[in-house]
Amino acid sequence: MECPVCRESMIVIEYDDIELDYCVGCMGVWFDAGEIELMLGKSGIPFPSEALRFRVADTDARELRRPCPLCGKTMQKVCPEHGRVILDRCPAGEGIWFDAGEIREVIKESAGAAGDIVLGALRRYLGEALAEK
Amino acid sequence: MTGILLFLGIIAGLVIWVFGMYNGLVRLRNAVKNAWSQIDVQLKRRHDLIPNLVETVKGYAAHEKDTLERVIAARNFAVTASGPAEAGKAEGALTGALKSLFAVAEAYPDLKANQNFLALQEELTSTENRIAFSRQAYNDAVMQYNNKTEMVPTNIIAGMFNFKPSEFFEIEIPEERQTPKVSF
Amino acid sequence: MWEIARSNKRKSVIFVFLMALLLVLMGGVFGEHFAQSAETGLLVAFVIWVILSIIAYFQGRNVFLAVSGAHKIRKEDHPRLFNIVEEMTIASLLPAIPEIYIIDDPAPNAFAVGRKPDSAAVAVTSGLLNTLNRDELQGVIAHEIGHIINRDTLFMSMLGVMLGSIVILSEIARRSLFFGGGRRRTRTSSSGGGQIQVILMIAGLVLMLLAPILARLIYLAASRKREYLADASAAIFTRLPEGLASALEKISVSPIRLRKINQVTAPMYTINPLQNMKLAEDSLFSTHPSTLNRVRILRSMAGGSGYDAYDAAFRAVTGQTRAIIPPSALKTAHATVPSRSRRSDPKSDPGTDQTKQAPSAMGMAGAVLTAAVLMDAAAEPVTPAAKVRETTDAIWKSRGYRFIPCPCGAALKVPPDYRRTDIVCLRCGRKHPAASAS
Ligand SMILES: [Zn+2]
Ligand SMILES: [Zn+2]
Ligand SMILES: [Zn+2]
Repeated sequence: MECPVCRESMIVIEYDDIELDYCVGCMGVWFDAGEIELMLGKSGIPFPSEALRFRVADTDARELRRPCPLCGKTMQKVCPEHGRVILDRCPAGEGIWFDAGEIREVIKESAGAAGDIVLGALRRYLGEALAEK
Repeated sequence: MTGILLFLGIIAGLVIWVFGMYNGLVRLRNAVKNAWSQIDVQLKRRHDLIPNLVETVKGYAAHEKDTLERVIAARNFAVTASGPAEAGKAEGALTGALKSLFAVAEAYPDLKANQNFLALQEELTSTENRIAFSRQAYNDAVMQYNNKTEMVPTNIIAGMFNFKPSEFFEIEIPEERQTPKVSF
Repeated sequence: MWEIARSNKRKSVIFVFLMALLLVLMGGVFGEHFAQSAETGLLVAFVIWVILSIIAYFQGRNVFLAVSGAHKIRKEDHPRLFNIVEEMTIASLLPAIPEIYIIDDPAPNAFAVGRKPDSAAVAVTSGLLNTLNRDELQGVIAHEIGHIINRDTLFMSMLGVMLGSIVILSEIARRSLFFGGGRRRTRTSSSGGGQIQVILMIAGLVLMLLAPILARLIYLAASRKREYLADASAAIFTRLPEGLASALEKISVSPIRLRKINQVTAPMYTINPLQNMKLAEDSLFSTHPSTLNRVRILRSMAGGSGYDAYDAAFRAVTGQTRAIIPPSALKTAHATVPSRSRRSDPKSDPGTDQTKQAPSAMGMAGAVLTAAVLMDAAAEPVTPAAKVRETTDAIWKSRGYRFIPCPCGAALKVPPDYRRTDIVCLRCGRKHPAASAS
């Protein structure tokens, strides 16, 4: 798969039966549909389901349009139900793209007070990708 | 004149017939050799896998010395075996020894989860299957060849040109020693 | 091993001829309808048939593999699958090891392709690898190699291509008849034999509508028996009818459907993926016999794993009086083949095999596999997750990905077209030289 930002081949990283694609060039991470839920489930975090819902962002114009690494169609600009971080999602819902550092921002925004606990639990899978920039 | 021609004709026919029988025996004997070489390749493969296996098991179950030594001894004996009949006995003994080794391994969860151990076990299983499947073809070839060397009239040719019957390949596993049942 | 292939050959020619006749006749009707010339249609259809046959003959193998999205694997990608194929190559006396392909598809299934036994290929889905244990996988591979040995693969792909074209032609005809069939009437009335023309036209119409059904019936007649025969071959090769029986059962109850599937490739699979009522009794239009029957027959093989036992079980289960195995095959060494006991079967005592009660074909005492029952614990991943991991890795590797184990515990999988000289681990930030991948 190609990084939607740098257009270079992405690495697949597997840990504890979870596979993610990431780009060494920009350290962005691609989650296939269902992988976020799987990871949270494996970490034993009861994450509120509305925190995993995304709405179409109203500020598309601000960021560049990027192609979905799976289907090639232009990705939608979305943000978490109660957040402001703008992410790219496959129009067919096959996955979602996080730029470097965005995973941390989304958790901080959506998990509120529990943010640090969630970050701690997910460090098992994402390690350095959750570090503060 | 016709008598001589007839006589010569019969002689020529006889010679061709003998040649035919002789060639038939050679063909069958080659088939046996060929089938045996298939098994031989697998036996070598099996013998080559065992030192690796023993090393891997040692890392987790060093104090199962008896079992490990028995496997090594059986393996070394099997390497020296010559001919299908002897090999059959030696391989049977080796199978018996391996069986107790794998029974012992049951008690070591770490060993059982070791990638190298799993890979070796898969290779050994497959080698055993290959030996088993090629053994049938070999024994069929031996049966055909031996029948020819014993039946009239090919037995005369076989006797004249020293076609000896071939050995069958049967793996005899010795009566199992009572290996302690491990329960969790 | 070739006795079935020989007996199949003559029938194959008849089936190919019938199918070709149908295709060319359709061409005739088409020509009459569109160009007012049946001869042109016949000729065009004939040419199409020749081209299709040439493609199916020389490229059928590659076309099927490409259409189904199969990737070739090497031994290190999936050792167990590779070993099983090699074992079955030995058991079946196939002259060469078939190439092995994996299809990334969660539905469990498999097929074999190849014009000749020495250049065949076997393809399995990732779902199959995830679902089956070693004995079951061996059964499915043996079934596929049975198709190769019995020379079904070339024939079925040729018939399959023709069936596909007939279905498509009929579809086109059906649409055009309803939307633009008015042109030809003028000519019919002006020519003298109007009545004959009308009769011919109706006959043509009927042919167009019935052709796909006829074609499927031909295909069914040709393939159904072959499925049973490949099952019988699998029993002989593995000497363990239960392996395939249990595999068929698992495949048929799987709720997952194949993704890349169509009319042409469907009949090639172990279990027809387009079949709706999967466990139903033999239906008229199924290209595969009912899976339930196949399982029942394999499980009723009391007297061993040979043709005799299969034939007896077939008659007992289906109630048919005619033999399914050709008489010529029943006279060979494979008529009676003893079974081996299943490795994981707790009832079987590995020490005292079934050696005694099952004399082999040649009357040899003790000609039973003993070695294959050695390993009580088969060396395969125990948990479903580990098995899925194994299959997924095989797919990555078949696509040329190289693996780097990171000391932090993660595995990095590097695509073949990766350009950078080093790789930073997402999890721990360690830098690895890209060249160190294995
Ligand atoms: Zn990038
Ligand atoms: Zn997409
Ligand atoms: Zn790492």
